[in-house]
Order: sequence, then structure tokens, then C-alpha cells
Amino acid sequence: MRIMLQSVAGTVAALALQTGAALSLSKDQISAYDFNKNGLIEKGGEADGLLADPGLITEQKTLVYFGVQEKPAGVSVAAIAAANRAGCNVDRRFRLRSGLSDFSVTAPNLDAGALSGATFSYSHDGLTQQDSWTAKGALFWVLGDPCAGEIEDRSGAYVSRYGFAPFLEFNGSEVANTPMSSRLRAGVLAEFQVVNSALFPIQIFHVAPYAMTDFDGDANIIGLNASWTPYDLGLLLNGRVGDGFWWQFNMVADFRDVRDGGQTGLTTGTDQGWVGANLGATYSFRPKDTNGFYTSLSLSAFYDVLNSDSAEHLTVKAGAFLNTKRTSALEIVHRRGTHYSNLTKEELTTVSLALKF
Amino acid sequence: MPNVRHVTAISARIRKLLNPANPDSVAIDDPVSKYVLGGQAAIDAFVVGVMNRYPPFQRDGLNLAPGDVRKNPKVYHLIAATVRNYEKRGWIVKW
Repeated sequence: MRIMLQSVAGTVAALALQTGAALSLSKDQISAYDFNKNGLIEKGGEADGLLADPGLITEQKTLVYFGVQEKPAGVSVAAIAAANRAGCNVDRRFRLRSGLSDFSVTAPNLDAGALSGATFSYSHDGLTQQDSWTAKGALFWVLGDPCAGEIEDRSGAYVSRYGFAPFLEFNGSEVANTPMSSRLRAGVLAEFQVVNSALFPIQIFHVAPYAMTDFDGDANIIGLNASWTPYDLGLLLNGRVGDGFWWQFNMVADFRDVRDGGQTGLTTGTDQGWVGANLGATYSFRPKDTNGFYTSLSLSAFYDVLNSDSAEHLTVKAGAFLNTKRTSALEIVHRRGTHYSNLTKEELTTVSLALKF
Repeated sequence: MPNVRHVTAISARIRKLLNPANPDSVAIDDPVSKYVLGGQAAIDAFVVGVMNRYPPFQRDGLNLAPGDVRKNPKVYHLIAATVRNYEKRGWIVKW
């Protein structure tokens, strides 16, 4: 068992794109109704005048209409100007996450793995003059504008969002100057969101063909990863309204052709066909005057249908949110068992300061 | 004669769905993720699986799609998308 500090997650670099507000009132146009020039639209003449402006889009109108009733000081001019639809635009293309399974192409700002990130650690033993390091994560580049556009026929099942993202996943370490197994996986992740199916309100499908090697480039592996995640808040399945308990569940298939195992830890000349599920339970609660706490337990159980092998992995997590928006948390994670993705047995406890941005 | 619904009624329904125990505490500019846990897909499931199927909305024929609401929305985005959906179907929304 070892303790390490997990690094900051989130975005390494970003390409900002303007979020479409072409038809909304601009900040200058809204300021024309801020008669006392204090940067706020107040109840009364200012709000009434602005609400009568035909250029106000519905989002802006809603914010002003209810905002001046709820906020005695008034509503910020800047906030009103920023209130637009921007429904499917991507504000940042480049993302860093803990792995392939920890990313949503169509919703990178708010994917379910909100507090998971890449891990980088380095330590130096002054007595033995030995170095150790770990690098684990995945880089994604979101292509295009991941949305299917206006849906006219909403009577049956339809694809509401889709997106594509090339990725580069890395996982390797060196312990006491000794290189351990390493993996470098590149591919394209395709994501499709299906709405109104007979069984679940939302289903997310992932398909990712990939090529894998090791950090030295000696291994030669190709494969296909696919997953299915259903969402139904009524069943507390992969989400819920308000704090409390909910389930996590998804199914995954990963087929690989290991032509040369290199330093990946996989056996040369074998085919693998992993099929399995991730099942978990999370409990979230918020005592008065706190930002909230969470605890979760998840089990992944996989079976290699081509080699009659199996791999089970358990993760137990507990954390405390550090801000009201719940974008940062201090968490402790215990992992035990063998995950199908790396077939390496582990028993690891991690104390993490997790940030999402 | 077109059907009529007041925006305050729409807002009250949505706030009740987001926080059944204390709908008045839901602020107009609160992020929806404060109330719906599980990421963007869970918010999409809230829109199509909870809002569309809420009996008062269902009787009015609400048929929101995830793309009608911007990603990582605030409460006013949900209300505005709902207003737009009513108007698109020929309703008059009073302010």
C-alpha cells in the first residue's frame, strides 16, 4: 500500500470559442437601461424598460424577470449579457482526464467523472538516490460541434447528441529506477446519446477503435473498446435529483489483438475479449453550513470470453467538497484487485486534491 | 383560441422538480448541477425523463430534447427552453 498525492485534473490547455449569442442583447445595449450606471438592472424602471426591449432573448428575459424579484440589489448587466443558449458549442477542445472511460465527448464541461483526473507523481529517495514516478491519464481533443441539431420528430427514439474525440491514453511508472510495464494507447472515441428509448430516457454509447504500444514503442496491439451507459433518475440510475443515494452502472466490451506485447504486460500472440460491467453505489449528503460530502463503492467485474479469464476490481472513495459549486474536493480513494484494462494487481490508497476546470 | 400558460407557473413547476422539499430556495441563476447529480447526461435525463413526464407538463404536451437546453445549464436556461417549447407548439406564455 502506498500513499501519493494526485495532481490537478482538468484542462492543460484550452482553445476558447465564442459561445453563440448573436441574437441576444449585448452588454452595451443592456447598459442603456442601467440608468444609474451601477452595473445592475434594478426592479422598477430599469427592469421594466429592459423587459420591453424586443431584442431580449428568452434566456435574458427569464433572468431579468425573475432575477429582479429575487435579488433586491438587482441583476448584473454582465450576467444578463452572458445569458444565451449556446446549446451545443464546445468552449474548450483539449481535455485531460484519468482515462478513456472517464470522459464525455458531448459534455466535457460536466462529465460524470467530474472529480477524476490524470495522475502524475515523482519521488526521490535521498538515502538510496533512487527515483520513482507515475504517469496515468488520457488527453482528448474534441472535434466539431457535438450536437445532432434541431430534432423535429420527437415521437420515438432519436440521437440527440453525438461527438468524436481523438485520444492518447498513457499509463506507466518507474519504481526505484526500475521501469515497470507501460501503455500508450491512441484512437478515436465516438459518442452517441439516444433519447426516449423504450427502456431508458437517456442512453450513452461509446465506440473507440485504438492502437496500443508501450513507452518505448516496442509493442503492437490493436483493439476496439465499446460501452453502454443508461440513465434514469426515477430508478436512481447514474444520477438523481438532490443529495442521497444512487447507482452507477455501465457495460463495457474490449477486444484486443496482441501482436507484440512489448513492455505492456500483455502476452504476445494472444487475442483478448473482455466483457463486463461496472456497478457502483454513491451516497452524497450536505449537512447545514457545509459544501457537502460523498462516499462511493464500485466493483468492476470482467470476463475474457476468448481465454476464460476473469478480473475483478474494487474502488472505495470518500470525499468532501471544498466549494459551493462542487468543482473541487479532498478525497481518499482505496483501490484493490485487478482491473481488466491493465491486468495488474494493485492495493493502493490515494489522498487527492481533485480539481475540475 | 390558443392555450395560455403563465411563466410563473412554468418556473414554479421546474423549481419544485429540482428541489421538492424547498422549491422557493432554488435561485434563478443556480446551476442545475447543484440539484441534479451525475453529470450532463443526468441533466439530459432530468429534461426528457423527469420534466417531460411530470404530469402537469405532460398534460401540456411538453416535449423538450436535450439539445434545447444549453449544456451545464442554470435554472433560467431550463425555464427559457420550456417557454420556447410552449411557444413553438402554439401556446401563449404570459409574463
